[in-house]
Amino acid sequence: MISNPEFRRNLWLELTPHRLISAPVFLALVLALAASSDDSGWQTPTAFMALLVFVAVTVLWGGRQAYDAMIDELRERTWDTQRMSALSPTAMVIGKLLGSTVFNWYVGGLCLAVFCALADLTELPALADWSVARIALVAVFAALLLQAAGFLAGLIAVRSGFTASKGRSLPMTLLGLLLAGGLAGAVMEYAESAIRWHDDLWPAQEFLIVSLAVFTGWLWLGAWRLMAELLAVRLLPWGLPAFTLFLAGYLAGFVDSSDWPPLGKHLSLVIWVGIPLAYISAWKERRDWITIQRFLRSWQADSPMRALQATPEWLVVGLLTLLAALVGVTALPEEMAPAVLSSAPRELLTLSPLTLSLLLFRDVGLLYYFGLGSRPDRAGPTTLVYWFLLWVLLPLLLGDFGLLASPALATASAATRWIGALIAAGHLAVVAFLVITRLGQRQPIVQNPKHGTGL
Amino acid sequence: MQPIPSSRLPAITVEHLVFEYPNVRALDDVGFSIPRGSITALVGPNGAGKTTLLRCIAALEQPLTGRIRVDEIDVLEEPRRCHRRVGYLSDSFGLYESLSVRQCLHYAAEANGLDPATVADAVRRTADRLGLADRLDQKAGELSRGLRQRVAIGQAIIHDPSLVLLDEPAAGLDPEARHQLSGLFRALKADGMTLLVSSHILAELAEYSTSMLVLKGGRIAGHEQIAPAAAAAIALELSLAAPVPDIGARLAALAGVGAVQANRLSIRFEFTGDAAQRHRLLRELISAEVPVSGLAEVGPDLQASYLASIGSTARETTP
Repeated sequence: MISNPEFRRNLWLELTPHRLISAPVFLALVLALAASSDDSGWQTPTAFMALLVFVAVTVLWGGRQAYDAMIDELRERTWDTQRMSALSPTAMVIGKLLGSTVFNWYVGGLCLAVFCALADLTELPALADWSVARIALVAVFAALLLQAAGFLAGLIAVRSGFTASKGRSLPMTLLGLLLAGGLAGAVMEYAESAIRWHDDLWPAQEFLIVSLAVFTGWLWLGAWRLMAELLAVRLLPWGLPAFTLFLAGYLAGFVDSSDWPPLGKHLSLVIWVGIPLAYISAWKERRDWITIQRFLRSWQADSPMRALQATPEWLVVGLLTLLAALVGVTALPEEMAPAVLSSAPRELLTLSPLTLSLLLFRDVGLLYYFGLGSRPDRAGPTTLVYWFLLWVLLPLLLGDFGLLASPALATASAATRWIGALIAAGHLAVVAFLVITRLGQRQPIVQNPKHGTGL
Repeated sequence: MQPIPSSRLPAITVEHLVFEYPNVRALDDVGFSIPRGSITALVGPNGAGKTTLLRCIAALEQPLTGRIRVDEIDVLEEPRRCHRRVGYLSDSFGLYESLSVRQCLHYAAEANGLDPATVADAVRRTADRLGLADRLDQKAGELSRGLRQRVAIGQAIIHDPSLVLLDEPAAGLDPEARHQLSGLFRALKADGMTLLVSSHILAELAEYSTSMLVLKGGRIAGHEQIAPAAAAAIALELSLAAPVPDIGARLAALAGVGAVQANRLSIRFEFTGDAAQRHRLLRELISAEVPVSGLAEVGPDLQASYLASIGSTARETTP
């Protein structure tokens, strides 16, 4: 680790002698204050104050530090130098993620040591069934999870090209508070129960800790892939599709197979997880003319590997959901929704997947259409307006006239299911025509071999 | 067929390069090649595409079409491999201000893949070369603009790249710092590096550049050698007390005289010869009743070449 130049640079910046000495002193003073606050005993308030400081410093501040690890490079105009370095994506992710939070872990380590030494959980009924070591493990993984999430958000921000001010870290802090609150709730809820997952019972505490670890791993993988992209390392587009399949499988485990047949359940969850992930990915993906042209050219050239590397991940996830929808709706339409649901949501779950998958392509097509226009910087907001028009205004307006306005809402019967899919396909065809027309309108590239000069 | 020795291959080859920002074509069918061991001045009006071109060569921007090769490496295909060969100083370079100069250089050396065993040597050598040896333990944020510039250049060259790209390196520097920078660039050239330097300060570029590449409106407006072509040639300026109509042709006919650029009262020309031959030239001119008022060695007139390239000549020029 110490041989990683990026990690060492962060050590130089974060672990200054002043910080190394002053942090334990401040921590000791805060804990002493907590110890003196309760007349009935000093150990429990001290231990819980240590845990509270851990959450504040390592989980929340650590998450923000990880976010700023990338944003600061833009802010201080050092990112170009880093992009031109020989550091690998792995070295960069480890160096930045662990290096930027090393001071938070220094303070956090002291806090956890105090907590483990002094905590007596029997005094808190909500945590009575937890061991101190497991609470410490949950805290450590919560910190790792939030730091990884912050780092990934920073990478997405850098890829999106904005140079955030310090104030932009506020959403990260709020997200951290939300996650920390949710996790605290989960710790209380899963104190003694077992969890049924994929038709087996699992000890709830271990399940929570392993889940935190696994999701942290996915965030690290996502960060590594984004870093590789920023460092011009070409990758195949398997990251988001793999996460879609994992998340669908993870969530499917919480639904009893007796309530929802396994194949239909898994196919449905691939669709219901994949569609929102594809929307988010398409929104964050580069959609400029250069990227589109490179993608098209790579498919025209005789290099399947290069063509796959240029394929956006939303497209792979979209095709995955379309495939799942086609199989589900044609082969086992009755298994696409759990029988336990009442009729209206059941019909929606059963009948809409194919239509929704097609509408995903229509909506992303609109994003590309406006991205290729005269104001690509406004493509996002303009597309949002049109999405609102297509998903809300038109259905409401035409619904008043008794007309079938939105293909997604055509769910009443098997016949309208196919009508809905056909209407969605029609929408998609129109948007595809618009995108192709706009691509054709682009100025042809000058290719004059005589123009070059040389000495 | 015998392979061409790598020392004779160009340092940079750019072909049909097109780069677009949304609705703006920043580079339009740009093509040129730059020989190894040269210093090329990249000049042009604001917005001509100089920074975009440098960033494309450094593989920091992806052009729409075209091809860039650095040391015969295809920059668009192998950007990471190209980075090992290139040092880049951006116009808005940043430093880790809380780190010492030593730490900045140490980090740059390791991040650029230098063997850990050689890093200390590389730091010391780079600091010596840039005159930073006595500042190694000072924080980068505490240095003057000129010294910070030197640290940034040190970071860009510490791994001994074969090509160094510098975007406005002299901006904001005082005259003494600029002079030192010129000396540094000449030293880097002497060490075998190829430099491509973007700048608005033509007088300084003239001090060290061997060729000039002019960009205008995203296109190459001129690419010419500005140092004398022959190694032994020097540039001379002849001053006249009164105009002589055919002075350009008369001078060109004399022994040792190369390319001539004649204006009304001053004539610049390349001359190959020693002091005695220069004396003979002067004697011939005076014998021919040319009203000579002075003869002096001069640097290249980048200003005139630049203005001619972008189409707004500063003064009347006789070919």
